[in-house]
Amino acid sequence: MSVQYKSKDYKVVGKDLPVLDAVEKVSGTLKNGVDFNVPNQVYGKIIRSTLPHARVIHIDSSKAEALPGVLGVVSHIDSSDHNWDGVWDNYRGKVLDGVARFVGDEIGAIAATTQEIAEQALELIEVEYEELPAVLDIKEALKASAPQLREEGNVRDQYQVKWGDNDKGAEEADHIVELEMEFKAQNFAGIGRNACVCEWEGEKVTMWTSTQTPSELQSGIHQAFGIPMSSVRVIALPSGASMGLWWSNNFMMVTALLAKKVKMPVKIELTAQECMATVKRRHVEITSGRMGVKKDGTLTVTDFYHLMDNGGYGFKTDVYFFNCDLWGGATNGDYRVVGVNTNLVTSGCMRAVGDITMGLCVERMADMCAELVDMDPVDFRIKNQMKEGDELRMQESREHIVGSAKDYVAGLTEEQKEGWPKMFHNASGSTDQLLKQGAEKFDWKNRFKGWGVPTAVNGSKHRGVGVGTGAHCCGVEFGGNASATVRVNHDGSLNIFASCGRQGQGSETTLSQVACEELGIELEKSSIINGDTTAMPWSSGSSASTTMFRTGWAVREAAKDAKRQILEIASKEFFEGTSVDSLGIQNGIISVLDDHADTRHISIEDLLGTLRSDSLGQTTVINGRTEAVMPPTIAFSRQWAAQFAEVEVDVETGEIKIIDFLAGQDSGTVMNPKVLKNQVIGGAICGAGFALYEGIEFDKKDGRVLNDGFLDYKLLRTGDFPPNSEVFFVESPDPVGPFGARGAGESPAAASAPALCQAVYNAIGVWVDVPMTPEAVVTALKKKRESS
Amino acid sequence: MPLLNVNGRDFDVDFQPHETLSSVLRDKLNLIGTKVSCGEGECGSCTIFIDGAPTTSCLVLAGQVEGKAITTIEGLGENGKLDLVQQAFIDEQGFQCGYCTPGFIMAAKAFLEENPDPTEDEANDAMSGNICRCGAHPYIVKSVLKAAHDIKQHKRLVY
Amino acid sequence: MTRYFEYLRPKTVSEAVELKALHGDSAKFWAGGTDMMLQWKGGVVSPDYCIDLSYLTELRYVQQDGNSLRIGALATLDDIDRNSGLGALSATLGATARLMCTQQSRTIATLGGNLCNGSPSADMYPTLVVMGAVVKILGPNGERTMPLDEFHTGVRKTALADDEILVEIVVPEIDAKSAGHYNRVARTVVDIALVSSAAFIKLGDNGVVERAGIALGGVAPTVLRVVEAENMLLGKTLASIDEALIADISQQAMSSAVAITDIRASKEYRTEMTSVLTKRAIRHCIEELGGTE
Repeated sequence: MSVQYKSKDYKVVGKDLPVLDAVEKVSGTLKNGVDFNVPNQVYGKIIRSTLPHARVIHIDSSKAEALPGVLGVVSHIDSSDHNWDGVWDNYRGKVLDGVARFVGDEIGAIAATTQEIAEQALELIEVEYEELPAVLDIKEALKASAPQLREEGNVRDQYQVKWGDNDKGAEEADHIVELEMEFKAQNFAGIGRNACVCEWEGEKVTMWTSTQTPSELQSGIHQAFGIPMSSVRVIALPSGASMGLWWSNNFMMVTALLAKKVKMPVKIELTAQECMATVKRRHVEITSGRMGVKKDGTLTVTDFYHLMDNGGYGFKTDVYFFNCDLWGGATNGDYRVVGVNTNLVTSGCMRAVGDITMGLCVERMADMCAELVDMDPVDFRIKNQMKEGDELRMQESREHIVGSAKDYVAGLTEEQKEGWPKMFHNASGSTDQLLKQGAEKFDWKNRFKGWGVPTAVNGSKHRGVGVGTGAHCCGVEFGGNASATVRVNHDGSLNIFASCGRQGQGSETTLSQVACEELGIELEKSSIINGDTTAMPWSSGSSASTTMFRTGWAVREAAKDAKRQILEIASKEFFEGTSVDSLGIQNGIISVLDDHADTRHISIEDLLGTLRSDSLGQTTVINGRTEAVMPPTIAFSRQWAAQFAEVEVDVETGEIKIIDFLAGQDSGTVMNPKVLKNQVIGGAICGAGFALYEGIEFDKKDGRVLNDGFLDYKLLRTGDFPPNSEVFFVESPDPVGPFGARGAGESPAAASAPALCQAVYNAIGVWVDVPMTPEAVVTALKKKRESS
Repeated sequence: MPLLNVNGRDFDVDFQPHETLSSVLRDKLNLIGTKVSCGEGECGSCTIFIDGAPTTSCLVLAGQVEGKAITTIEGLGENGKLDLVQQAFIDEQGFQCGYCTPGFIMAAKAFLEENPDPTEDEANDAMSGNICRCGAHPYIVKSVLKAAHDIKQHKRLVY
Repeated sequence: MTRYFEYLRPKTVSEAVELKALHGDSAKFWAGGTDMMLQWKGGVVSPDYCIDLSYLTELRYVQQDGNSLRIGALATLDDIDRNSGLGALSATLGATARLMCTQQSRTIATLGGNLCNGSPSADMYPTLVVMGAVVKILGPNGERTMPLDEFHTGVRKTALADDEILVEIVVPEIDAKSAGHYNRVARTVVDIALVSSAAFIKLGDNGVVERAGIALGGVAPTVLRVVEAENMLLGKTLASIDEALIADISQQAMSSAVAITDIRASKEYRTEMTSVLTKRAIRHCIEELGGTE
C-alpha cells in the first residue's frame, strides 16, 4: 500500500510556497486576540487568588462597584455547577467554584467601561479566605495523607505500557543502570499575550480569542454553560507562539461568564505576567527507572516510573510518552505514568509532552548503557530503536475516557478496515535513515572521539558532540474524529473549512496546499476558514501534532469527494459519458487524462456556470465532505527526529555555547519544506532552551511563579543558537496521511535536549542536570572532581 | 492636545502622561503592528524608531517623544510596496507566528542602516535584541542577510 | 499602587534640580526610563511627580577632555558604544555597554540612570569604579564630586540627596598606558550579570603599575571595590604579574565577596566565579598593555 510519492509530480505539494498570511505578518496587520475589538465592548479584569489553597468566604466588591464606570462583578456564585474539560485533560473543573487551587487562580472578575477603571476597581476588591493546607511537592501530593485539591482526589489512575518481562531481561543483562531525573516545569513563555472578547445574544454566545483548538473551545463553552453546541460560536484568531498554551483556557470561560452577567461584550486582555504565571505550563516531572544492556548492545530492560504534576486543574495521566516506541527495539519494557495534582499553576501539554522529559531520561540512560558496552551512540540507537514495520509498544489509548484503540479496531469488520495499514505496527519511517544520513552529513564518525572525550580543548573551552532522538504521535484519535469540508464555488474558486490553529505552524497554508493539489485548483483561488466554528465541522484542532496528518487527511478526503462530484457532472454534462476515472482537473480545467488526442476541456467555472444558468441545474456549488473513516492514528503513525549538536563548554564558568546543529526529520512527505524546516528548527530550539536555561522557579512557601517575565525566564535568542544550523528530511511516505505526510511539530523538540546533554557529557565527562545552567555545569564538574 | 509625529504625519493625540508610547500607538492610533508582549524591554516586539533609533516603545512614556519622529512598521515601504527587509522576511520565512515579526523587521532595518554588509555572525548577534519563541532563529538571520543583499542590489539598479 | 503621576518636563538642569527640591521624595527623575518604567509598573516606586529628564540634551555627551573622558549623565548606553574610539578605556566602556540589555533599549537607557538605579549587578559600576571614575553631582547648593565607588551605597541606593541630580561621570587617565577589562557570567546573550569582575591597570613611566583597580559586581549590596587586591598589583612590572600572583589576587577578591543566593545563582557559585572572572580580567589588561614579554 506504501506508494513512493515524488514531489515533482505535484503542483503545490512539496513546494516552498510563502505562507498565505506572510504579507500580513511582515506588515503588522495580522490581528491576534489582543488586536481584536467589537463595538461597545467593555473591559474585564480577573480577581486572582493570593493564596495557594483557600476557600473563598466572601468577596467584598462594594468599594469597587462604587467606582464610576464599574459594571459588575462575577464570582463562583454566578458560575454554573458544570465541569468543563480542556483539550487532552489539560483542564477539568468549573469556571469558578469558590476554591483557589494556586496563587493566581481565578476566583472572580470585574467589568468596567475602560481598562483603567477595571484595573483600579480590581485593587479595591477585598476577598476573605479560609486558608486550606496546600501541597506543592509532587511526591507529597501522591500521599493519601496529603491535602486533596479536588473531589476526584489528587492522584489519577496509572497509565502503563508493558511488553515482555523486565525481570527476565535483567537476568540476561550484563549491565544495569539506574537513574532518577527531576525536571523543572518549562514555561510556555509565549511571545504574544492573549485576549478574549465575548458577547452574548440571549442564550447564544460568540467568542473571539487566539486559540489552537477552536472546536474544542466550542465544546468547552457548551459544557461550562450547559448550552447547545449550536448556540456557541467561536471565532479563533491567530495566536503568538503557543506550543499548547492557548487551547481552551479558563480565562476564556471567565470572560464569557462576565459578559453574560453585565450583558455587554467584554474583553479581557491578560498581562504578560498573567500569561506566564496563571494559564498553563509544562508539568514538573520526575522519571526514575533502570535500563539493562547486554555486551552486544541489546537492551533487555527498559523500566520506568514517571510522575507528572497536574497543578491545580490539569487532569492528565496518559502523557503519551512515545519514547517507549522510540526505544521499542528493547526486548522488554514497562513504562508507568501517574499524574497528580498540586497547588501550583495548572499544567498541561506543552510541545512534546512527556517525550521532552521522560524521553530525556530514557535517552540519557541509553547513553549510559552504550558507554558501558563501549558502543557509539549512533550505532546504539540504530540497534535498539524501532524500525518501520515493527510492532508498536504503545497500543492503548485513553481507556479511562472513551475507549481503547484495541477495542475499537476489534469492533470493525474487515470491509471497514479495507486498505488500512497493519494496526499496531509502525507504518512508516523510523530514526534509522535519519541517524545514518545525519551521521554522514555531520561527519559524526570523525567528530565523535569516544564517550566523555572532548572533540577539542582550548584552554578552559572544551568541545563535544552529541546525538539525540525523539518520537511523537501524529495526532490521537478519540479526541473526536478529524473532519473538514470544502466548497467549490461556481466561479471555480475554493473554500476550505478546517478547524485548526494559526500559531505559526503554517497549517492554513499546508491544508490549502492539500486541497488545491487534490482538486487541481490554484492556491490563489482558495481561501481557508480555519477558525469559525459555525462554518467548520468539528475537529480536534491543532494539538498533538494532529493538523497535517489528521485534519490534512480530512481535507483531502473532502477534496476527493468534491472532485468526484465535479467529474461526475462533467462526465455527464460535457464529456458525453467519458468515465470519471479518465477525467482530471489541472489549474481549474477539466480534461481527459492520458489521451492527448482528446482535446476536450472545460473549466470548473464554465461547467458550474452552465449548470447555474440552466434552470434545471441543482448543483451550482459543490460541497465536499469527509466520508471515509480514518484508521486510528495511534495504531500506526509516529513522527521521528534525530539531531546532532556540537557544544563548547567553559569548564571554569560553566557557560555552554552551541556551536553546530543539524536536525533530521522524518514526517513523511514534506508539504512545504520552508514551513517544515522552520518548524523543525523551532522545535529544536524549544528543546535546547529546556536543556540549557528554562525552568519555572516556584516560591517554596506558596508556589507562586517567581520568574514570570523574560528578565529571569531565559529564552534562547538568535545569538544563542548557531545561525548555520541545518535541517534535512527523510520522507518515508505515510500510507494514510495526505500525499504521504505525517505530523511534525513535537519530535524535534524531544530530540535536541538529549543531543545537547550528550554533547556536554562528551565535552566534560560528566552528566549535567537540566537546565544545564552555568552553575549546574560547575556543580557537576565539582562533584566529578570530588568523586575521582 | 499633544502632537505626535508618526510615520511622517502629525497627530493630535489625547493621552495621559503615564501612558506608554506602545499603548498610545496601538490604542489611540490603531497602529497594531507595534506588538506588545513582555512590556519589559526584553522581547523587542514593540520596536519602533524614534528619530531613526530603534527603541522598545513599551519602555517609553508617550510624553517623551514630543517633537520627535516616530516610525512604526506601518511606516515602512513606499507606494504600497513592501520594504525590501519585509520582502526578505517573506522570502526566507523569517518568522512563524508573526507576533514578534514587526519588531524583528524594525530591528533588522536599523541594523542594516548601520551595517549594510554584515556577516552571518554579526546578523545573528544583532537580532538578539528580539525574542522569537517559535524558534525561527536561523531563518531570521537568513532574512537579514537576504535583505542586505537585496538592498545592495537595489541601490546598484537605482544609482 | 497609584497608576498616575504628574508629568513635569524641565528645560534645564537647574530647573530639574529646582523641581526635585520642591517635591523631594514624592518626585522621581525619569531619564531613559528603562528601569523606572519597570519599577513603576511593578509598584516598586509610585511617585506623585515624574520629572522627565529626557529633553535635557545638555547632559547627553561623551567627550574626550585632555586625558579624561567626560560622560554626561544622560548619555545613552548606545552613545557610549558609539564613542568607543576615544582612547583605550572608551573601548572597554563600549564593550561593557554592549553587554547590557538590548540594542533597542540601549538607545534610551542612560549611564546616569544605570548608576542611579543602584543595582548590585549594574554592569557599568565595576568597569567605571576600577578606572577611578568620579561623579559630578548638582544640588541647590551647587556642585560636588565624589569617587564612583562611594556613590553606590546599597541596593537601589546612592549618595544622592533628595534634591540632587547626577550630571557627569569623569574617567581620568584614558591614555595608552591604561587598560581595563570587564567580564561577567550570564545565561543567554541578553541577561543581567549573575556575577562580574573588572580589572584596571595603569602603568607609570617606569613600567610599573602605578594605579590598579579590581571591582566585583553581583556579590554584595553594592559594587565591591577590592582595595587589598588592587594593592597587590601596585609597583609590579607586567612581567612580575605571573599566574601565581594573579591567583593570589583573585583569591583576595573572592574572599571579599559577600554574595547571596537568589533565583539567578547561588552564593557559592557567585563567590567562586569572582575568582575566575578576576583572573581573566587581569590577564586581559596585561595582554592589552603589551603582555608580559
